Amino acid sequence: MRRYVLFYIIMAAAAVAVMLIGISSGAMEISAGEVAKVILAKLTGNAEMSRGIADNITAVVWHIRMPRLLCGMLTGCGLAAAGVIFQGILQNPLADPYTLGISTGASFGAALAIYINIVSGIYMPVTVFALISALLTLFAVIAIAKRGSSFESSNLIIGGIIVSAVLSSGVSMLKLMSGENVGAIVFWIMGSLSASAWKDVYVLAPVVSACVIFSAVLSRRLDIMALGDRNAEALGVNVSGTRLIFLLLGALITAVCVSVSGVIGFVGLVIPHLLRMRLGAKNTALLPAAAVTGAVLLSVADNITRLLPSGEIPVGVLTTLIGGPFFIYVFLKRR
Amino acid sequence: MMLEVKNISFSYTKEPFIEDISFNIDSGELVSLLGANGSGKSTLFSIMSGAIKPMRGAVLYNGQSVHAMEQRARAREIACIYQRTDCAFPFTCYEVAEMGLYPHKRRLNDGDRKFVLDIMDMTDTIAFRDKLICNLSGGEVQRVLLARALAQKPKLLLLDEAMSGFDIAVRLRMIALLRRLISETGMSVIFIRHDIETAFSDSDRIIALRGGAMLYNDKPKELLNKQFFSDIFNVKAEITDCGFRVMNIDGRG
Repeated sequence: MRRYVLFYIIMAAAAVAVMLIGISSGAMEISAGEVAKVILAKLTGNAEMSRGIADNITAVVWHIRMPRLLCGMLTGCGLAAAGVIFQGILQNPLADPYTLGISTGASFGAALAIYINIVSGIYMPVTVFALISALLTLFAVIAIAKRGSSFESSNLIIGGIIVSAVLSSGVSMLKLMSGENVGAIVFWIMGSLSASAWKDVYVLAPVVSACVIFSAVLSRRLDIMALGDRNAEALGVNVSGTRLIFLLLGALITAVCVSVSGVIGFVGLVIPHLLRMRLGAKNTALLPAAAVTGAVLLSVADNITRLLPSGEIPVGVLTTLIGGPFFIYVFLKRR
Repeated sequence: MMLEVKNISFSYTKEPFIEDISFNIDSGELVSLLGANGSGKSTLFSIMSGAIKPMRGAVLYNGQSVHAMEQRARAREIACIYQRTDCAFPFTCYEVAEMGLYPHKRRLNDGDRKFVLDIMDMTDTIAFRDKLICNLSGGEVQRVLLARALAQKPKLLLLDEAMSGFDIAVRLRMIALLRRLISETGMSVIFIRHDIETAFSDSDRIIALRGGAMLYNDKPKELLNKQFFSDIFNVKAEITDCGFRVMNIDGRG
């Protein structure tokens, strides 16, 4: 019990620190005190508290850096929790939120919207296209994996691989057809939080928090499912129904995260793994811990990419670039 | 009558795999299910546990079809241990044993934890309560699964070769434990097994299958004859004072 309390205290402190340090640094240097005042003034609706702070500072803090920070936290929280969910329902520690091709589906939708924007000049909302395409992908995977009323994890993985392969060829095709404008598609897929705005927060916040909380409430069933379908059935868990519920929750989280921020890799794989080594395998403890850690780590990573002296790189590139070798190091050390 | 298996038939292909099997199990009985590989034991086991539905016939538990029972209610009455269980995640043995309480309650208190630890003590698993299940040997995993099944407080315990990984001393201790629980709680045990020698010495009754049909259903001492071994296992047997000795059908032992 004590290790959990300590863990959450550290994470809460880290979240506040990231918020103050992250928002105060950047091209325009703002003091942490000013950041805190602006945030408190906005949250309490009391404009008195931010008196004396220039309007442009208020605007940068509240309309540029704050939504980006929140998007980073929500995306990190969602991807890490979805990682726990997918590993649990697929009974496979190598699964992540992208295993079932939902990210490829979102990428295809985004690429299609960007392509239409380029060739026809008609504005298509990229996020909406990505979201719809991600959800259609999910239904395709479910349709392929379904046998009667049951879903076996291996069928879901195979369905995901097939749909993902088809869609990623589709993305390649769209890239090819976009000619010299291919950069817009490539950049979107790399995963970046640089375009985050409050409207993204309004989409992410309710979906991610509702799905994560609901999953956490049901998470004991994921523990029981870890011993395989037959054992879980014998202990009174309706395996197919539970798998479908978690599949929808995990996929919904992934779909909104990817539609807002592109494909940010490794968060959903590495964080559940690392925490399992420290906190054990019980999903009741793991899922909330992963959600909190994901939020802190992705916002830290995003602030690093934003503040690089050589100019910004997409955060998806950084998470995989650092997360991959780090994971290998931890994995080898453990053996 | 605790369990009534009535005219069960099942097939995977067009050919019937299990045909018209019927028997009853009384409360407090330890019944061994014997048969060669592919004789239909495991399929019959899955049907009795409620995991698969028979194509014809019914399995009644205290008069109620096990296939119609609500899943959690069934798990409070019937516990199963399957032949192979893998765990992809680093759960500790205690955490696995504790899962047995899942059908009974969601939130566990100190009394529940003590109950699980007592069962781990009985099943000789308390020493590795904090070890990871994936790091144990086959026989140790089976004992943890036995602890989990007993934590379900079952009235009927179904074991599919659950003691195949045990050394002889552990096997005798676990059988003695089951015997004790049977006499204390009236639990019944149905047990698929390949350890024929011990099956003959410790079962109340033996049910034997061949080619998906039930050929024998009787007390062990009634079955201790040459015909039984040649019908069920296709081996020659010599019945001796202290049991039996088997050899190949061509006489090489």
